Amino acid sequence: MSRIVVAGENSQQAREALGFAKILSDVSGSTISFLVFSGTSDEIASAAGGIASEAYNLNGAGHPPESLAAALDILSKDGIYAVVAPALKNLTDALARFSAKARIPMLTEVIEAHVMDDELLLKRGVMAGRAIGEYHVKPPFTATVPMKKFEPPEASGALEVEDLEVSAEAPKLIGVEKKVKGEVDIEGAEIVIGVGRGFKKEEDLKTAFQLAELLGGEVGCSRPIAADYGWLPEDRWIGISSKKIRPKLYFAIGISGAPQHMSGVLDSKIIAAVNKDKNAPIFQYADYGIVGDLYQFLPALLKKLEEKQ
Amino acid sequence: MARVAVLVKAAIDVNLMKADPQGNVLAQQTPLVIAEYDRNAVQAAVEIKGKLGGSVAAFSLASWGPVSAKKKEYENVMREVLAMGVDEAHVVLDDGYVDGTPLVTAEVMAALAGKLGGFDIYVTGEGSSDMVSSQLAPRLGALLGLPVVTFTKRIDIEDGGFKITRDLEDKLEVVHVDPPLVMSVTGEANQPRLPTLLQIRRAFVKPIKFYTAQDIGVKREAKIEQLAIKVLAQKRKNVIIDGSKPEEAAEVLIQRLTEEGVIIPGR
Repeated sequence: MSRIVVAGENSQQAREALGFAKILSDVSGSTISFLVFSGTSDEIASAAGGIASEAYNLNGAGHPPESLAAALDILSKDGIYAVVAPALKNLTDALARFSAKARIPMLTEVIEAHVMDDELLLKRGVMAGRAIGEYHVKPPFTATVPMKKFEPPEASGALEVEDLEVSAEAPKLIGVEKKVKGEVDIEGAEIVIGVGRGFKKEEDLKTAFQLAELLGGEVGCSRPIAADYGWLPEDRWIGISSKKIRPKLYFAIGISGAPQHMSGVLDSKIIAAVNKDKNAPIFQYADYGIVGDLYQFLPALLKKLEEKQ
Repeated sequence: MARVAVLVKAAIDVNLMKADPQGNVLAQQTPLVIAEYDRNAVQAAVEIKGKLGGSVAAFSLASWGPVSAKKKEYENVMREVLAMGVDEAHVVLDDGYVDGTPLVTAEVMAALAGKLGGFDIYVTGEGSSDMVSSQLAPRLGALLGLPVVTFTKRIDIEDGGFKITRDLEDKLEVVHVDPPLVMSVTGEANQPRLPTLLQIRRAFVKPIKFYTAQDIGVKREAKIEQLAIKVLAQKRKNVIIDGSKPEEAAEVLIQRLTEEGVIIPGR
């Protein structure tokens, strides 16, 4: 019986893929092995005790992508059913390296897993979130799953942890700069006001913040606002290569609706939008679309909402 | 002098995606464009050539078929990157590789690189704009036995070595690596330049070579099967409100959003 390896840089990360691993384990009867780049035995046990049947710790040796890929080479020597991990950059990197050497397929960001006639049917978002790809895949394979997509089973009980030593050549690390973490939790907000290039000046964004405050929401933005103009920090940037949100209301203001942005908001319950251009793609995605100038509409909306306070 | 290879995908144009009444994406009827982050990869490759001298070759595998019908589109994408400063293009066109997974793409690209004598620096985009698998750089590096640096946000060249800033979820990480190497670049790595008219004209005399599976010799195995690509059903209400009278429009919107239960005015 071959095993399923669940990998992460730490226990908390690896735990994000345990729910998916459990589905694979129920189908195949394979056992689950828990692999972390670093962490304590207690952390590992409280993350995967009672779910995984064994655990390995690299104790932070080396550089995560290279060390984890090397560990997977070792753990797969006697055959493997699958390797799974959350869809984080270093883990996608590690699993892809391993998959290439093992000559096996890999599916990134799997959002659904089904079993049909003993075959595994996996689904993932493609085309900037506008389509779903469906795949039959035979073991062995590797996969990543988005954070918080598959609920992990409750962990309980002990789990013995084995130290694993690997040697892997890696680029020389010469510096690390932590990203400044803002106070904002855009992914957890129930109402998100999205701002885009329709705003002409940085100071004009304050009307969006006023609206967010009145409605009890947070302000997010499209790529130009964060990456090109630097008007808002990266933790407010919504889109395919940044934050993905699923609020009750997404209110897009001055956002044209590029697919790379929209793929981050498609799970919103209701989408409202204001845009001057009646042909802007945003209106195809919107439940309620206001064709008009945000510089006239926003003050009117704020005034009406204030009157109702 | 550096031999630089840049890997470019002609991807489905997501904005012009066509589908049948059952929602199946019709790749054949949808135009192809250069994958968004591959523009950044080309720009990075051309900038590296600018600093180190040498040449840039673009590699591409036709991943949407049938290739006989799509050949002109693959050629157009290559003309575009040639206009951006790439010197020559190599395209693998074979229906046997179409709909291939990143496994196939990486093996074909590695074989092509070997056939052309190897390169010092391989650059890819962080992921394609249609399938977004984000696997090509690490797979290629593993196959070629080269160091891999993924999610590159900034490239500094120092004494022939590369100081590379990786953009991870919670941190920026700076690493040093000497060529030969493989790197993937993010959309923030640079601002791709639009080619001038003169560059576009010059691109037409630059060479594009085509290859088949027979030239490449990689055998595709059925380890994974793509059953379907289906567009997400559009469930939005698409109610348009005229904003020419802002106060009235605001009142209508507040009313609708309140009815939906997503806002509570005066909460």
